[in-house]
Amino acid sequence: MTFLVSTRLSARVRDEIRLASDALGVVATDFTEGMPIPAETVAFVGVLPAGARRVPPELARLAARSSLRLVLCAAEPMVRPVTALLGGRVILIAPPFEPQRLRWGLRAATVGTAEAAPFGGDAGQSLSAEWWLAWARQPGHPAAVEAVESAIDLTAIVGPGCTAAQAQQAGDVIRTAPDDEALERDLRSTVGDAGVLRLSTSLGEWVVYWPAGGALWLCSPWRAPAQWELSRAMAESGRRLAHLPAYPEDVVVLCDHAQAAEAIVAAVERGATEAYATLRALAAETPMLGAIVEAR
Amino acid sequence: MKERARILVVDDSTTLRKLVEIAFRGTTAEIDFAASGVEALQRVAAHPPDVILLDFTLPDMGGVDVCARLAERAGAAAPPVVVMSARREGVREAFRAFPFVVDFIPKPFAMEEIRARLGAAQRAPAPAVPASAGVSLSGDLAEVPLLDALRFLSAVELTGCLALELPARVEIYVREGEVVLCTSHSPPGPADLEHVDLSRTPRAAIERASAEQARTGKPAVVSLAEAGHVPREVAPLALLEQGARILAAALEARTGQLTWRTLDALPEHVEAFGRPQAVAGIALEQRRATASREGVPAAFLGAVYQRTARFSRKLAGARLSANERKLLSLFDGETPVSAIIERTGLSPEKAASVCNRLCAVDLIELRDHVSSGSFAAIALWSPGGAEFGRSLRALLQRRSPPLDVIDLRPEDDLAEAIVRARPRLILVTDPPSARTDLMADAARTISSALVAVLDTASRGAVDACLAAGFHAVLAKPIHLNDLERLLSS
Repeated sequence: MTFLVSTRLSARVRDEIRLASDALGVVATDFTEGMPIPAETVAFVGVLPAGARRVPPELARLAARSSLRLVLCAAEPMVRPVTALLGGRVILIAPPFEPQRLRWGLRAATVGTAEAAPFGGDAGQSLSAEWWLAWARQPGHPAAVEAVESAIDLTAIVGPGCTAAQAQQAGDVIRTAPDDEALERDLRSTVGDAGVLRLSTSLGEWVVYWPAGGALWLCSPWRAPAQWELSRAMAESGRRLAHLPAYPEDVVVLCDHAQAAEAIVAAVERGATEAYATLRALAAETPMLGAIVEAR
Repeated sequence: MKERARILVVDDSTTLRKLVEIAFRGTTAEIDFAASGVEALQRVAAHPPDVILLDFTLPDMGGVDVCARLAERAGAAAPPVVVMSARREGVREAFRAFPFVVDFIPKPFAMEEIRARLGAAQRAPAPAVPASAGVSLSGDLAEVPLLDALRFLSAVELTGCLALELPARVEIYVREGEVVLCTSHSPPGPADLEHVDLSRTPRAAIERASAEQARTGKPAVVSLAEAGHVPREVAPLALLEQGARILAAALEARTGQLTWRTLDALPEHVEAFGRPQAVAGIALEQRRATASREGVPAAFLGAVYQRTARFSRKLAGARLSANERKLLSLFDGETPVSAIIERTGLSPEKAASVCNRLCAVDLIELRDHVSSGSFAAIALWSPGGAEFGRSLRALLQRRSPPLDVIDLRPEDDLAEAIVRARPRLILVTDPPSARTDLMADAARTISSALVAVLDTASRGAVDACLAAGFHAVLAKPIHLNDLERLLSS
């Protein structure tokens, strides 16, 4: 895969884009007008000038002609750090162009090109405008990640032998339970000892059901503490169910191997992509299952 | 107005200059500006105007002095002068000796008024744009900053809707110059839904609407007002908070089309849920905090906006102390805060304390004006360990502008430390503790909020905290947005 990077971007931003692309396993190539577009190109990374309310016509033509995605670094502040438009064809990244934010926006441009593995498999990713879910396990490990996604929410269950049907039922239970008591009771009867994580973007909420062992961390540069072992806090207070407000840049790490979880969490500081690379590396040599969910 | 009339505007206010420019946009008039009396006299000598719009007070001399010099130089041949002044008394008398002073315009004035008066001043044909055309206020934010537009609308006390085409369309409803409500036609974020009463809101309704939004990619149609799921007693607050965020973001926008539409009456839902917010207050707070709008972050302006609302409510209640009244009477929107504090005769600490009670001045960078010592936005009582304090401090340093945290130590006289520090929030990480009562009393004294920070928030723990006098409860890991909401409420 290749990103074409406009030379109208500053040298510093282009350097950051190169680094971010490396982390995503994508080649970033400087683009100058008139040059032929490599066949493996997935996106063009350019500039949205200050005051522009439309995609600049030359970029729109380029995207239309070549079916490229456009990643535009906006010159003026935006309400959200990264915004996907037109079903992901156009991705706007708001300043400041920090490495983590660029990685986030660029990763969005690889939607559909990510590992299209089914849930329940050994490794895979699922990317939407609102979240990114990535998981990996050592082949043969009994636990699995199953998930159901709608336009506005993600329900993932983690545990030995869990099924897609259970994930669907867990989502329904969370949607319809009248109160927490009923919710906890119904989840226990639906998924047993499996853990459940639901991100509702419409409600801006994480719902965590975490009855058994295993680590669950909530990380965000906009939180204090920036890395919080929610599973331990829940265990210490004797609780299995928690509701937390969800915000963009929240990253949840779930892992059935405590030391591995700490290593993955440490990598989150460098971005969710790096955390996933760490998870993959650990899962290759350790009997474990891990998953990362990033709210966007 | 005659063909290519030359108008010299003599005023040191850049806002006024901009407004005059807007007033004459689309006409053939040529507008020239002078910021001082000396500059005005130089321009008159170099290129005599057809009419002069002269401020009563200028930085280097009075309007009367300018007219005296004009009379010396040109006598009766001096160009006609229209004097503008916020004063109501004694102005005409001051200029009686100058026959070329033909009119007086009290500030604030409407655009059509100024066009008409200047046209008449030249004894020339009627203005190119008839007064009945109403106010024409449109352009790009790069040219007409939103704050200036709001201040103008405030000055002329108009009613209508100011629409901004930012990435999303923003509508600012103004009633007789006061911002009443801001709405944005963009999908609601999590924060916009936080006041929805979940127990009374069908989730399916929200999800259906959000799915529709996601499907069509069209702007949100679910405003809190329209949804009807928000309990009526909660809706205005939710809308105001939502509006503050929208306005704060809009104030930061540097470009985008701005259009004013005068309305006879505001839409029903605006009338139902809106509350007047003094625009003048926004500008006043801004001036107190910084000389320039550049670099003022949205969160700050959002806080200003909300605090101004609270400030106005308090004024309406008329329960001000003598010192508060004294201080308030000196805020004129022009005088710097440092000068105001000097004029009160109060000690800097006392003045800061009074200002704090007015719910406004903790937005001032207090240390720029008074030596209040250990002022900080947040005080932290975390005897269980320093780890949380470190992470909180790191978080608040990432904020723009950064906020300070004061650690309350076990050996401190807690009540005294809190009153001395005057924090806006007091965070307590191991509540309820034996010293909660003390902190609650101190928090009440200085109108601060006492906030419990729990490892996990079970219903029982939350109830226990609220019963012990805490105003709010946050669960770890606390998010900056949650703190911002508490800081500005």
